[in-house]
Amino acid sequence: MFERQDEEDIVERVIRELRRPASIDRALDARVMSEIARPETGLVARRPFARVWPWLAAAAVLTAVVIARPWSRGTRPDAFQFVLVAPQAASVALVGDFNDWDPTRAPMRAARGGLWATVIPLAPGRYRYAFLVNGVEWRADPGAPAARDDEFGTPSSVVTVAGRGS
Amino acid sequence: MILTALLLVIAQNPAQDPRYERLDPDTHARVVAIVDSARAVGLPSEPLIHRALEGAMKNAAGERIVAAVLTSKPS
Repeated sequence: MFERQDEEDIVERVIRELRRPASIDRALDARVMSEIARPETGLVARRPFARVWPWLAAAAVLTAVVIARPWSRGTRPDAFQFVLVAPQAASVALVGDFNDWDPTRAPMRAARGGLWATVIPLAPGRYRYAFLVNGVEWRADPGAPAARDDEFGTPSSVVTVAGRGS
Repeated sequence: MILTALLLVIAQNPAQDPRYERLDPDTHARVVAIVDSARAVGLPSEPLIHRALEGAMKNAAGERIVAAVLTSKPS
């Protein structure tokens, strides 16, 4: 395709171009040398975990946050025990705002000495409640403040659960 | 899934709250009206419902339940 003279010219030009010293940014040389001098550069290639550990650390932090749930601090329920001494009772139920005043949802268990007890989880808040003895008799909790309003003619008590942060 | 659907139905129509079934129809309607008016102005409704349920559980008359719910409603 080319004449011989043209070929020789082209080869000559290529050789001249290749022999001409390339102009390289002086700062590039310094950057390359500093990268080579960094101890991590070699380690990264040898230890695959070196690239992974930031992700593992982030996952650990995320897991800890999810378990601790700081956004729900003060709203998580705590277990509360309610007790009533009623030696003559055949059944006692704990009824209140926390169980929609449904006696089937918190029956109390008899213990020794006529003691009736139950444990329920309560989130922070203020709850009215009472004990229903034998399904007919309402009793307030002698160990708790009495409820202020008593329009229904039977006593109730009040329990106030404070948040953990308060 | 079923519980979520039930809660959605109740949230969309508070009058369907199964807890109201413990009230007689007249008291039911009046309590729902009070609760709805409280909700409309952004007041909490659960304390009012609990007051009605307490009255129903204690076999109080409807008039007394409505009065107690009204007393509990913040003005």
